[in-house]
Amino acid sequence: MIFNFLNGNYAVDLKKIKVVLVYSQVQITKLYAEKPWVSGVTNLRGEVVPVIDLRVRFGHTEPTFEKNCVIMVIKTNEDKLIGIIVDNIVSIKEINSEIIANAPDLGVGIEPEFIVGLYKDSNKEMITLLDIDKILKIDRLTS
Amino acid sequence: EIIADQEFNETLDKDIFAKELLNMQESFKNFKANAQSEPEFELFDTDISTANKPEFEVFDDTTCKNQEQEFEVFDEKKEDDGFLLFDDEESKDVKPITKNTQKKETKKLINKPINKSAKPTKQTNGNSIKKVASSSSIRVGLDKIDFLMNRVGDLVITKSMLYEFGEELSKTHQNIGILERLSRLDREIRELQEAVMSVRMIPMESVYAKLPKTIRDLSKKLSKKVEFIHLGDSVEIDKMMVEGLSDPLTHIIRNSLDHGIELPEVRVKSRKSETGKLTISASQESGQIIIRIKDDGAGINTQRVVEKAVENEVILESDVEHMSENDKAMLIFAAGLSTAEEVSDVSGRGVGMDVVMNNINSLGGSIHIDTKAGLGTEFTIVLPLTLAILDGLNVNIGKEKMILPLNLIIESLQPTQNMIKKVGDYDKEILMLRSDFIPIIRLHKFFNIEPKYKDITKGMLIISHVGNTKVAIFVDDFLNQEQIVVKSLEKNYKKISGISATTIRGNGNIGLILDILSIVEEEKILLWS
Repeated sequence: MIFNFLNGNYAVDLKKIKVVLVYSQVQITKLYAEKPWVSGVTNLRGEVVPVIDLRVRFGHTEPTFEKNCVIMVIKTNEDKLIGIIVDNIVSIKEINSEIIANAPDLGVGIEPEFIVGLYKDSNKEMITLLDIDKILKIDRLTS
Repeated sequence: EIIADQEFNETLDKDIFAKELLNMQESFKNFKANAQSEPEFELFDTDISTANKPEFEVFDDTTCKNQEQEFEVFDEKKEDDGFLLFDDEESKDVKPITKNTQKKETKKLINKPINKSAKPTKQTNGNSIKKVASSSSIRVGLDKIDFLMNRVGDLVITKSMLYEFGEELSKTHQNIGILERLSRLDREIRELQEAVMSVRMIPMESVYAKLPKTIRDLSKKLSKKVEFIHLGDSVEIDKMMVEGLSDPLTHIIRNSLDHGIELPEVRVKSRKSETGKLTISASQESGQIIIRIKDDGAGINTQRVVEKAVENEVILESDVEHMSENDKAMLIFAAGLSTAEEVSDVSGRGVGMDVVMNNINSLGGSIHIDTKAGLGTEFTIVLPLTLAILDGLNVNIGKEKMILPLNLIIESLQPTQNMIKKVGDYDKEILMLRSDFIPIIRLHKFFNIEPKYKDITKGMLIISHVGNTKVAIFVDDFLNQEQIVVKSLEKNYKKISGISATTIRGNGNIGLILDILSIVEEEKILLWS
């Protein structure tokens, strides 16, 4: 699944994604005294699911919410359901593991350990593959 | 048009509600069907294995099973024998039995006598049959009860949704009596919920069951004489609680035996009877379970505890003079503290009492100590009746609505300026109420929310229990009281400070349940009573 935030293309493994919700239709309850990128918690069919704003996590910016904003609920390998907010979803694509290039030490917003690799698609766009399990690891979210 | 819209909404809500009810009914049916199918299964099982045997054998098989169950029940876990809830151990000991019957079958094919297994059961034959005949109970898996509980939880949520809607409706339509009807529904759901809850409850007996053996073994090892008295065997407690409770209780008792009760010679010298007394009692008071463990030993040597605590930098030496004897005794719950001169295999490693504290806290309970030198020590554990549903009070902080557990609240008031005192330069405020001095916590500061009122006299102070002391919590306003279904935050996230759990409100939003204990700890208010 390829999605877009902060004018960059990113991808996560489709198998990880449980549900996609439209941001404007979701009520988020703020959790105070938490890190700024933890937007709050929401109710997903009776389950209490935390929501992380990836744009704040990696962009350190004030988030803006447009109607394309979606929350992707991810099932992490810690067996937790966590929602991530991204700007919009671009497409679903099969990515061959051979053409994934190693990530250079980017020195930008995203720590290199959170990146599986880089990939160039047919439109010569760069897509960054994220290691979503690592990003959403509970103790990484809080430190 | 608005009215029509509302009516439409109402029918929609009704639909949801009806669905919910249907669901409930179905799950009840399932529940029943499953429950019925279980005894059938047993019969079926024995039928196959003993199809060609004389009737006596069939009997023997069931009694054999029964006997083994009873054995399990009494010796190892001492569950109440009327209602045995399935858990892992249980299913374990069912398996060998079915194996046993299979073995019998094969044995029978080879035409060997099966007297071996038949013999011991003969003696208890009559007894066991009587047991089977007299008990009108069934076994149900714990997961089924949990499922049922969740359904009731959903029903409670739907009800509060309906209630909110009803309140809205009664503003525009007077005298339609919707709230009266809804409150009837509320009562009925409450009863249903209590009934389901009571299924999960088992008597304290099962908690006590393991203790006599522990005490016997330990008193022998320490060559002390102890009489064990347990009261309130029939007080019922949530099954989930029992698991979390057995370790802390055992630990406190070991502690009492080792440090509390003296050796017989010492006891005689201090004009006490040679045999020490260890009493454990359970009771239910105002929606809480109170467990007291009392010994008539030497009491806690607070002097030594304080010395150790200062040594380990748990407290400052300057704090000591402000502390009461019981506060000093509470220091034994600090991590890494042991007053035992020698490390033995009974105690002295300094791990344990802090674990007890944590265990009790994680059950939503509190613990405190009452100790008198030379006369004995009493531990009091206060636990909530259940973990699944609680009564909460909605409080307003700025735009936020949060929930305060009702069982913690003592009273609420709007203070006048002369009731508020300040201590030193700090912005710590103290409420002077009658003869009490109660520290004030400003929730808006804790959560960093923009409040409606910054002036304490305009808002509300809610006085609540924290352990055995009190705090006054400053909120803008409080709203209605509500029954809420507790949903854990840790399941998908983690424990966060200030919030113990969450709930789903009538409108589908998430409500946060305040965790006063952790707020107080974080505010680092020194607790002196």
